[in-house]
Amino acid sequence: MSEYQYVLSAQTRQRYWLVTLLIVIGLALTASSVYFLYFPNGYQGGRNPDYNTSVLFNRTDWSQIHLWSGIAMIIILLIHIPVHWKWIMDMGKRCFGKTECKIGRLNPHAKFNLYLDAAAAASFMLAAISGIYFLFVPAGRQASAPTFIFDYSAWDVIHTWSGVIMIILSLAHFLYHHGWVMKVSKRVMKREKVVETV
Amino acid sequence: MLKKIALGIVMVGVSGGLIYGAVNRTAARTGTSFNGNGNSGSHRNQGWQDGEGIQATGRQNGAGGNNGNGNGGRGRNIAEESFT
Repeated sequence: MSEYQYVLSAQTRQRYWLVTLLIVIGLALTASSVYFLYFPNGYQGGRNPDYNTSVLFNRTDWSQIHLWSGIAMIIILLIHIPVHWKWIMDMGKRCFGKTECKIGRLNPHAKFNLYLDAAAAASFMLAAISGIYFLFVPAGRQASAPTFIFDYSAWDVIHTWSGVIMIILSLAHFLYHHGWVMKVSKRVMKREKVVETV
Repeated sequence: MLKKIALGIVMVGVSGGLIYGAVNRTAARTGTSFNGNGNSGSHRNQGWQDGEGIQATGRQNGAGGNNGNGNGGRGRNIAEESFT
């Protein structure tokens, strides 16, 4: 009888599948975002020739893709935070602990990674908060939309730019760590024989 | 080295496309002018995007007839869209 075990640890496999899920949902979110960046306006009484332009899907479908992939992204990243909680706390202690800030002592790669992640997290928070605003204030109610800190147009601009910055930083994050993704992808399904008995 | 250049080109290309699109959307949604990809004119009257505004127009023009009801219906359909 032979027994096999995964080459990778359970933690690495869990992290890999979480990243894979984030990439798939991120691609759906990015594709729908690009549609709404290039076809920004809705129905305008027949004055908008670009209304409901179909690029693979029509406007309503892209809207649904954007909505549900955005909600999924928020849920998955809320799971992502506890998974990396130790790293977040370590970094927090380094900078906000009683001892002096030690970020300056990190090597350049670690420092770049830290700033990249912090900027991506900040832009994600803005995109998520503004996205939640749009869940409760759909486009059709624009003129009568309640002002919550900012007016509708300001939330739109915040959502657009924080979303675009988040996508760019996420791409940079992926390219920076693509070596890990490629290496783990090759090993994730592989099992090796550890015990062999007759 | 070649790989780094290729990744850099991808990064710059995607970032450029997204920023161009974001400027395009910001211009369209805030009513400012932007000589972009031919969407000019699509933001002449931002009020047309508003379902409430369309309903009000329908009530004014339709004189209680079918035209008014039809426009009102269109307004409600648009209201079902999300932030877009």
